Amino acid sequence: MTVPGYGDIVEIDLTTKKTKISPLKDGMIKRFLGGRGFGAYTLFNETLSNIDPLSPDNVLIAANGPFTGTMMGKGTKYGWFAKSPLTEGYMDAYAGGHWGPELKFAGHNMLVIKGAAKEPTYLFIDDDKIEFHDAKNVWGKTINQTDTIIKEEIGDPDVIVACVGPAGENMVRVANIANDKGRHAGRCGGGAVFGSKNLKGVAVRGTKDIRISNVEDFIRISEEAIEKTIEILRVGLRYGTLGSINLYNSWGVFVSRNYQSSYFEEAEKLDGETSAPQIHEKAVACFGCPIGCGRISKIKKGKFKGLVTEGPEHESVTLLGPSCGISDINAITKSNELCNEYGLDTISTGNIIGFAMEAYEKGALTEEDTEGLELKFGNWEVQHELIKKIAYREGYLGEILSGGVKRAAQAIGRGTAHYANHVKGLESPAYHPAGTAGQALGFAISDYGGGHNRVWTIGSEMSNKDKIPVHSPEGKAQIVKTSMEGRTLADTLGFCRFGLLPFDMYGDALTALSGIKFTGNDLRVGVNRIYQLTRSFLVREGFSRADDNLPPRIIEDPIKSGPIKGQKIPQEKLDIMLDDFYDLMGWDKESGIPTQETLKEFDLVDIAEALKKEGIYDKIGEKPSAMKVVKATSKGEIK
Amino acid sequence: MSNPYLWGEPTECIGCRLCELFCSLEKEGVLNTKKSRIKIKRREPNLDFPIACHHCEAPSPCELACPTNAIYQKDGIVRVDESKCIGCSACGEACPYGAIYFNPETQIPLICDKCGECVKHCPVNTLRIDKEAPIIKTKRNLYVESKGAKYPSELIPQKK
Repeated sequence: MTVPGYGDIVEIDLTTKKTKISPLKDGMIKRFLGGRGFGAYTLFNETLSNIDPLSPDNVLIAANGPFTGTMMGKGTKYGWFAKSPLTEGYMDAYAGGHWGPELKFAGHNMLVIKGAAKEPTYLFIDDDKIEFHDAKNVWGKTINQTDTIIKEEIGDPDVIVACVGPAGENMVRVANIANDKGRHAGRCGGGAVFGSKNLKGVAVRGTKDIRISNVEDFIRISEEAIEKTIEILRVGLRYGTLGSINLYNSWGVFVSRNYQSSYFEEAEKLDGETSAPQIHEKAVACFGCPIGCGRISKIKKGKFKGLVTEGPEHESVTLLGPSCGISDINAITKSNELCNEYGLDTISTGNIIGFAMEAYEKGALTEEDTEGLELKFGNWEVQHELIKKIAYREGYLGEILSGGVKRAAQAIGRGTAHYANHVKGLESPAYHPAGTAGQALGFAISDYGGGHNRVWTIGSEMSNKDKIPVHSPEGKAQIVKTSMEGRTLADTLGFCRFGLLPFDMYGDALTALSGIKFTGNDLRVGVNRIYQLTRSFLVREGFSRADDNLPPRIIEDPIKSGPIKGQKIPQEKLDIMLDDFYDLMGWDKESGIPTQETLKEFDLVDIAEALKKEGIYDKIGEKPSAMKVVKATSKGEIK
Repeated sequence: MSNPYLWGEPTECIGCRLCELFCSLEKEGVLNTKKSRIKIKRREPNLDFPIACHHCEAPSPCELACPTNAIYQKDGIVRVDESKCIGCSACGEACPYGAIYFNPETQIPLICDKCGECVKHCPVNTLRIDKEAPIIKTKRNLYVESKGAKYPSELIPQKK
């Protein structure tokens, strides 16, 4: 009998078309809790080290948390896991919507997809029945078309579809995975893993019960969580996620023109107060969320009049907008729609285009390179062209940019690596890394690269600035660790990271749901175990302290304008914080490797053994000389 | 004409489906949206229709369609006598609103009895039980479209 709130594991081999459904292994729940814990542990065990992420050796995993599909604090998120084709390190990417819950209702906690299909395929998971469908009618189609056609082919408008667009099929390394048409597991290029496996999508229909161990307690805690969530978030999210742009800009933590500044002079045009009335039509929620920060938008005037689409949200607006010097909300909404339909991560795509614009303005990209495109900051028409070129890897520029900003800088040379904004190969998001010291550290230590999903400390640093100045490295390691714990818990139990509630409350809820006793402290230990695990995956793949770094621009160039003009994060400052953080985490200070003692303390002896076999512990105490070198070019050739 | 029934504004509903969860919990003691008596039907791209039994004036179409007289009305509420139900789904075919769902295990119809549990838990307070339902005329069209999986053509993006 499965534990209430949990489900089983579905293994699917695309090469042999064999499938197997098995229960969760003993001890998995206590040790790894769910979601990210399950995904990361399975990924570590099911992949060999140093595989090509776009080969059939890579394993694609979808994992639910115990709260996915319940009403516990927006219990809706699920994650995708693989070795990232973008960073060649650890990948996870989470999405809301209704796909994760539907998978839970089908009785499944996890999908583990191996091998590669001979012909384009999509999967249909109908409770315990797993079907392989010919994807010839949807191959080449955009996200909306694919979703619609798959529902028609299955003959049920209520199945929930996760799929990739042309970018994923073309193995663009910044391709995302979409579900419910407008929700995306965006980061790290999961869409390309789909493409490499000839997998177009996974449709799900679930009719089973999610049982609850203690119904009365679970309802009581959920009702309280819903009430508190509304209290914390409703006002702040009244414009969806667009309501904080002015605030971030006034703090100088925003992004402008490929991170040349952390202040955008036209930010007011994009802030929700101004932009929301222009485009927003209606709020939409992910499954079980009382807030609904999603927005259906309609462009009401200009060239794109009449376009109806979901989004754009804060990150997409910032990267496709200010990071490219663009302030026209209608043009940005169109860019967002293009990315969504082709299946491109809006954060990475906006970051890459901002980078290309700077390279063009500095003369590193010539007219010949761009095939005549005038890649100037603010030129949204060119941005729209470029989005398509990236999705289809068209021409020289489309090809090199489709490999992500790190590979693009490698290919172009001419000093462009200085302003390629990424960490570990993942493009930086909508917060300037030099905005606050803690956030800078948060980006540097992030296990999946330059994203804000792991750590977000700007709010707490600003509210504590009288005690600890925001640009001081003092005490920031602890703030970062606390934030990392909360966000890891969200991704692990399967709820949204907005408006986190106390750990004890989640412990009580998980106890009521599963019938297994969890305290808040059990969960805190659990998420730290998970972070040690993802760190172990990274070091197994050759990452080291040298990769816990920030782009040269952030280290060396003073911010050009705005409230924190002149700020940067000098390497010495970052090193102080890294030392502190490694101390807290029990990682070797020279190499950044989690020590055997640390892994033992967190009940990860099997992981320590695996690292030992790989020879990782021979590197302890060694100062790494350079960052991990990405092996593959954007074309996928191994150098 | 109909008796008071459960409905919500499709422009206000955010499609979170908390109503479905609390309905299945209240009636079946489990979380299962397929066992809910209310369902949110999304009409792409931007309307979410909460759909539950309209409690038509007796004799309702479902009552007339039932071959075993398992469906009956009492105090303006359509009810099912489960001991008589043979799970033939004729009531669902007859319902003009697509508001009768079926328990995936037993095939017994799931019909809203206006208990109000979902109304209590609607986070945007759009669910209500009353007679004033301004969207009643368009609902029928919506149902025909959603059941046949016919999406309005303007919502399907053209090939780029």
